[in-house]
Amino acid sequence: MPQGEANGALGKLLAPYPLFLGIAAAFLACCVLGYASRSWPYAGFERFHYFINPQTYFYPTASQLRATARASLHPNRIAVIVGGNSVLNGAGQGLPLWTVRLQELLGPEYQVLNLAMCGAAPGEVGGVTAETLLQEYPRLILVTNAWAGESGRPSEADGSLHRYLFWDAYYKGLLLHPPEREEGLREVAHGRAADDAYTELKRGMRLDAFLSYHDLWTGVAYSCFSTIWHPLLEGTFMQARGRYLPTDTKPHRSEHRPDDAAAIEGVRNLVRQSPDFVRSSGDAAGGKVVNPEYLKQMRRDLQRCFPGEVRQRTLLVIAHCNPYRVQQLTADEQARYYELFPATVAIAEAAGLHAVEVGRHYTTADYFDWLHFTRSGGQKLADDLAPQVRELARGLGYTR
Amino acid sequence: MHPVTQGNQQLFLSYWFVLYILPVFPLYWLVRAPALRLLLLLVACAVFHTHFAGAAGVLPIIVLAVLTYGAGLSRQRWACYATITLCVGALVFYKYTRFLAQQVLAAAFSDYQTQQAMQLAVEGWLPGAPPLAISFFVFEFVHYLFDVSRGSPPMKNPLDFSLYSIFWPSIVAGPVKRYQDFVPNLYHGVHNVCETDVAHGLIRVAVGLVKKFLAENLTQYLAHAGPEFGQLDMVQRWYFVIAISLRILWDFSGYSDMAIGFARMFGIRLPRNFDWPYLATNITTFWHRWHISLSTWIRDYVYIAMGGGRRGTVRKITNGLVAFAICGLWHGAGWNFLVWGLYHGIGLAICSNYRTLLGPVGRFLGARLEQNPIVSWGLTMLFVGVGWVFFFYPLPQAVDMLVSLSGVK
Repeated sequence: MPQGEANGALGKLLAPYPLFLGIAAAFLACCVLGYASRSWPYAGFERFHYFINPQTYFYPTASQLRATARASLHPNRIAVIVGGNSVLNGAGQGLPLWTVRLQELLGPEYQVLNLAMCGAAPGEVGGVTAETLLQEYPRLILVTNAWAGESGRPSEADGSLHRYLFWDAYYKGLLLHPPEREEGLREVAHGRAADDAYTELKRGMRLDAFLSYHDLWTGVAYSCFSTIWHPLLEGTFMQARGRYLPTDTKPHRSEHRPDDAAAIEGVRNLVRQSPDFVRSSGDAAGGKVVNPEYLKQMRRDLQRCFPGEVRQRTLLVIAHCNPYRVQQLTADEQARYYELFPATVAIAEAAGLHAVEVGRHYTTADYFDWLHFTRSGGQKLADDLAPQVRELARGLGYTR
Repeated sequence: MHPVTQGNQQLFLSYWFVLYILPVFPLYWLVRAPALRLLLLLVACAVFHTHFAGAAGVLPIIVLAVLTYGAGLSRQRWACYATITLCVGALVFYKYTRFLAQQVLAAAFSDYQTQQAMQLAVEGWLPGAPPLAISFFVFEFVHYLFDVSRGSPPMKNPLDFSLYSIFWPSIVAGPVKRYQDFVPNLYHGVHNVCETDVAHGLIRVAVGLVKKFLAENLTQYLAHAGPEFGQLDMVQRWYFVIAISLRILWDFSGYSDMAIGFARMFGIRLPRNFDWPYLATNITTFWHRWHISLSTWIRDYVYIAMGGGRRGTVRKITNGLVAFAICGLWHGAGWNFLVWGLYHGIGLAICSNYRTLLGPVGRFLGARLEQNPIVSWGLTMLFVGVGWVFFFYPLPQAVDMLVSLSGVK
């Protein structure tokens, strides 16, 4: 290109070629640093909390979660990755978390890592991370949770609220490619062909697999300084996210307000969204069976979300809601509510997962609100799940 | 930051856009023949416009562009005026029909449920989302037709006209171009683009990006603190007004900077749109520095076309108010935009005429303010900041906030 006319003070100062060189070098340096930051673990990580999750615009990356797991997990111990949503995250429990109790109960042969995240679908975040670790940690168990009934139907094959993480791992080549899921992904792509935000998300993640800018920003934001304002961070928004304490997320406590419509509706919706989930088997004894339609669809969806290698290592927890709220349902709704749990467990097992119903006999004191546990509830959860985890480990041949 | 694009203002911040410019710029620089560069630019502009506007957004613009081009070629005054009417009609139809229908229904039916029922009934007749950037298209077409009708030479080459119409850097948020400047700049660019242009362009884009980033953070703050405005203490309320003012400036001017920067990377210079408006020491100067391409368009094609200040003070003030009302409504279909425009119209009328109207007192006041630029700057910023509350919030909420700001509530 010919030398053009420079203009203004900037023009006098500006030397184009050194500038281009500087930009190219800086860009390359960022890419290299971003690539290097893929192996930066989140130092001091205990679990996701407000300040290190997408609620405050912090999007952990698949590679850094894998690095965090690598830093935490010992290759000779059985890795227990806790996935799922805020219930398993321990929101409302205070410290120490239920996963600390679980670790104590399981003993030194196991190592528990809590990767549950608010709003995560059963196979998201913890599930995705577990899948990325399978090669290195074949002795691995994923504990995740789902709602009972139709509400527990897994998300689309790539997740729901945190699907960015799936695509991050997918384009970085960290995931398996089972045919069931690939088919599910094709269906999602077809169904969302007109969804610009979805296409843009995938485009961004594909680009990031080459350039690592999310890893760089997330790594810097966790360790050095953040740049995004959020009301929860207020005056300290530039502080490194890793310096925030894993404060309890404290969801709105509501179990003692009998008129809390949202809480009542939360439980009632479980029943309403699953009409005809369980049917009479037609036998003389008046037995009940899972509606074959639900069985077929949910089994297929579960198999799409969890590849075979992960499925067999997964313990799916179907946790009850606060009995205080359940008792506010009508007698018919209560009967249908209690039917949902064994039916959901049966579906999960039919899909090849291990599943367990918990909380049927918990008391109101074990719940922080209509679905999250208090500390006592968390301890009971750990007590209930520890034998299940051990049994699964035995079944998988990890222990005798 | 998370990869989600929303709204017209985010087009330059999308991954699609990144992937789009990656081949466009190098190809443009590598192709040495100006004619090929023009063709490449046209294809790139068409791809950009079609991608973001979609077929439903492109079609009305094509129709208006073809008619504008034809009317310009004919050089017939009636054809130009008819096409101006059509363009303005299209703008009103797409951008304001829904708002107008809501106002008519609200006036006709006092019962909210009836209003809603009627709204549903007329829904099928109302246009959907307006075509991407229709306000900019219409203003540029009107400028072109008006100038041609007054004797300026039309653009004969359809390529020139097409590029003037859909030049992608300025398609979404301006600057509003003048074809007499744009076409020579376009040819200068395709013939002479050089590394200095690219360097200047890159720096301008970077400045724009930083402004957009700061504006986004302020948007978060405003979205959080806005609903709790009444609970803030007085200092925080004024801090909030400052945040609105900075957010609007950085958002608008950041986008303009990026547009100007990208154009410069093609070697094409677009007009400056913001010139440190918050350093203005009176409203007149503020409007010489704020959204310059829009304010000069309003001046030339509304204010002066209506007679400007040539027919006495009353007519001058009336023309100014009409011009600013249009300026306000151009930003969006809502009473708050109209009020914001009129507010500035009144401010400008006072600023331009108080020395004459108040006689010796006015002249004394004017002299004192000139001697104390910090005071006049403070008063100007106070006026502008209060105006932004109207611009940013629906009218009832804005009034509520201003009452809170005054300390009455």
